[in-house]
Amino acid sequence: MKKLFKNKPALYLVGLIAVPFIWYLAANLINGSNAYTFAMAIVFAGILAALLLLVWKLPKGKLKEILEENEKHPKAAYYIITVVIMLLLPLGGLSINQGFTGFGGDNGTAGLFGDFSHPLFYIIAVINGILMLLHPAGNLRLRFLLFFLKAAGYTYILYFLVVFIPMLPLGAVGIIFYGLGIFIWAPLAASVWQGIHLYKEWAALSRTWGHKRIAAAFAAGLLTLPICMAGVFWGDKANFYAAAEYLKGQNYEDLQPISLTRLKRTLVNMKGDLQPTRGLMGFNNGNTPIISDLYSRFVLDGRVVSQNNIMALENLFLDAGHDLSAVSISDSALVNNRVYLKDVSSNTVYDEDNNIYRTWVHLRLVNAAPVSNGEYVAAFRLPEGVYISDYYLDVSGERKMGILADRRAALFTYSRIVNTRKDPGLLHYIGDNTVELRVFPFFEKEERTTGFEIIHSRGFDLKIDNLEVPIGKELPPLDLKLDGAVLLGPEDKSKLKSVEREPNYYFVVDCSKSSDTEWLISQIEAYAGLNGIEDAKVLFADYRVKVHNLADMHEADIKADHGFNLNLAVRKILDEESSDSWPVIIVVTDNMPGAVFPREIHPLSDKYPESRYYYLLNHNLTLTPYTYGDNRAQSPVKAPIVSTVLDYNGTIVPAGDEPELVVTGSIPYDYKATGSQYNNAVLLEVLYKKSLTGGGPDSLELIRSSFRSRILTPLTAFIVVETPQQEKELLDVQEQILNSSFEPALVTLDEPPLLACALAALAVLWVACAGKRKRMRTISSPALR
Amino acid sequence: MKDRVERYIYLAMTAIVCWHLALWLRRAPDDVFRVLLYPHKMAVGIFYHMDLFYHAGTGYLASDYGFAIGRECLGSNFILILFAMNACMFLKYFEGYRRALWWFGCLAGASALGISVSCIRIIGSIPFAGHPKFPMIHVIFGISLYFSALFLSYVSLRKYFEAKSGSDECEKAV
Repeated sequence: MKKLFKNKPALYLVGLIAVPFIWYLAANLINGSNAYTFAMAIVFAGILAALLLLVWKLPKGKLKEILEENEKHPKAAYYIITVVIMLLLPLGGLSINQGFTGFGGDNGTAGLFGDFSHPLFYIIAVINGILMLLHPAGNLRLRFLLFFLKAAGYTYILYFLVVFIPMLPLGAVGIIFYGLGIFIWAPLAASVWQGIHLYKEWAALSRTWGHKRIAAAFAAGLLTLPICMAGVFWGDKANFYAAAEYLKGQNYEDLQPISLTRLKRTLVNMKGDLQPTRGLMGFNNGNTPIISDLYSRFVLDGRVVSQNNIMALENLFLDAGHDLSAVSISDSALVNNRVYLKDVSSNTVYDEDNNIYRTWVHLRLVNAAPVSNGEYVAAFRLPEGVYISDYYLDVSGERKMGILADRRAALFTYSRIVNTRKDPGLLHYIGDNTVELRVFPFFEKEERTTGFEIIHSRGFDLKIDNLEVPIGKELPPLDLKLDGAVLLGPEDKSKLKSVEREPNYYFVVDCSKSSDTEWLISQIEAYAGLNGIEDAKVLFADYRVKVHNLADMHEADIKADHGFNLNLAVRKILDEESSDSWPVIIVVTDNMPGAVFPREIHPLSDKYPESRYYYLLNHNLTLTPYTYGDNRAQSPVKAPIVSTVLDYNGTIVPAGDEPELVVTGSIPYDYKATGSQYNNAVLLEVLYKKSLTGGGPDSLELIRSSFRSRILTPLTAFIVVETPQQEKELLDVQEQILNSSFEPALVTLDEPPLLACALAALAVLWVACAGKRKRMRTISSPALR
Repeated sequence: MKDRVERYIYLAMTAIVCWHLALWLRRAPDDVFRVLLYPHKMAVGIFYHMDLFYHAGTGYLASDYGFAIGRECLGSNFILILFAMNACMFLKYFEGYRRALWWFGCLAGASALGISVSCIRIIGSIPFAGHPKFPMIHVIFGISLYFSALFLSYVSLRKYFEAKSGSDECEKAV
């Protein structure tokens, strides 16, 4: 062993191999690793040890000959080995990997060991291989430049070495059985071969240029590719956030142009990112190992974008044609939907501490079908000022209370569980005051019980499916003192004066790639002629929106491209509408399911309670109303539906028996819990609506506030899961979604560090012994004797 | 001479055991911590009527996510230091198999006292959990509590052993 440490080239080789190895271990430690990766690391360490032993056992002269060959012209063997190791094996490996695209029938698989299909993987391999064949011994400047470029290429080789470390044993098996396993060993061979070559070049060049310059060139070379990648990531990040603004539609005045190439790359890397655990191989083969992970962390700041948003972005910019309305969180092939609501009962009590009514609503659900895997799905509407504060589901005779979790995490977990046939229950908002309840599974003819608690101040009828249950209707309305808001009941509304505002017509034309805009314009002309509309605005919407008047709409410069951003158009109309009028929005398209629908737009649409709908213009010139709250289509009508509205101190509210929450004071910027759970719920609702129109606290703060006040909001969901493992998975996904921003909210009660404890112990010993010594000195002092 | 060698062996053994325990506690399975941290959950439940739920990998969480009692909150540092201090400082009062018994007794006693002190530390800190300078308050409170507990433990044991044996190292020094 002493010989090994005296052998400098051998030590150099150890260092050379140790760098990627340590890099790999560090990456695993940071990203989280499993027993498999550590086992692979140990196997790899064993292989390296065997290689080192081989080097150590080489005759001294032979080793010297290999390492000091640099001054001579390379032999033919060098060129042959370089062509094989640096060109044929990498290119062959990349091609074979790509040949396995879609392996196993999984559409998300872009290659056997990951997605290396980008042309740059091939181009860099070729350039690096050719550079390795160049050997200008006489021209030192050119040789120095080549050294830098080869160092840059070495990063590429090291990347593949790190990626393929866990595969090396598989490569050994592959060599025996198929002969293809040699490609898995190619990065190892290439990194050793190029490493030796760079070492020799370093030794030769350092005599002229000095070690410092060569080291700087080497370091700069190694950093070249990562820096280029970081530059690309940076651009993609800005592009993605600009694209997301089109989807949100909030700052429509300040939208930036989008690079579709960059966006496509971002969308590809985003897919398959929401994994609670790492795969067996330590990476997902749908992505590019390590790079996709780094990309996701950098471009998305580690956040996870929901599948629905990814599809919406693809529709918006690539006109991908996903039917977003058909996206379901449970697989229709696995579940049957013949579960019905058999009975609803309620139990209302007065909560003196909060001055509020609390009602438990119990639901008995029955699977009518003689088959298992029944799923109950129902949406119901809650009146204004009614909030859900708890949820339960009976699982195997045991009542399990719901966990209030991040809505995205809960939906993801529910979907996973339903598709693996375990017991989940889910309660979440799907629109303005519209709540959806899902329970799964039901065995044949099985009956199950679920329920939720609501807090409210007045009685009402709750309609779920076809059953109606009175909630505290026999109880008197409570007189609530809300901070900055008032809940108007029917008796308050009866005292208000009605007002009339003029309707303004807006036609939103689908200008996506697949639409026939000429024909759509003719439809507008026909409808306007039929209804005598002369003054209207026409909005041509692809992912952007261009506004024209009805009179000059033929002059519009329309290029049918990209998707159909209905959200942006509707938001712009509602935001810019004068308070003296109300908008009638008519969508003109042949492909309504392909549109990006308005989302969370009710804070804007609530300003115009004359109509809760926007409309789709049908071929027969009738209108199909769609609710602003949840984009659900209603039965076609001949003319827009208009409701009576009332004036409450300048705020327009709808007439009718439904209570109405009206903000009267200034809205605070942050959520600050009050002593009353109901006041907290009102404040959360007001802040949530404020956040949708820009301003107000961010969504993470609202999610945390929802947890603290235990009130269901549109950002959270109540979920019941069957096993602790599912609960863990839910919380893991939630942590992943809420990311680092969630961490500061969680105060951990850590003990003082070990060093502080040791110092405390030493201080104890010192104080105790010092006191004792002082006492003994006092006793033995002659003055005191 | 033989006694001194034996004491050195005990000191080395204490150091090795402490080192291994510290390493093991860092990587111990989640279920171990679920059990070890249970007294903390009970204490919080008794004093604050709060029901904590266990989240694998994190520890016991308050239902409003206000605070967490994780593996770093167990008080293992204190347990190890208390064990090391008592096992090393009072070995001289024992001989033969009693020395081994004392050594194991120190480990068991330090675990029991350590978890109790840790529960007090947690209970005392929870009211400040929402304070902006909570980490500083918690560390200062923790160190003060640890110092007091170590001091009480050391002084009371020394007085006990001095009274029993009638000898004292410090007295000899004087």
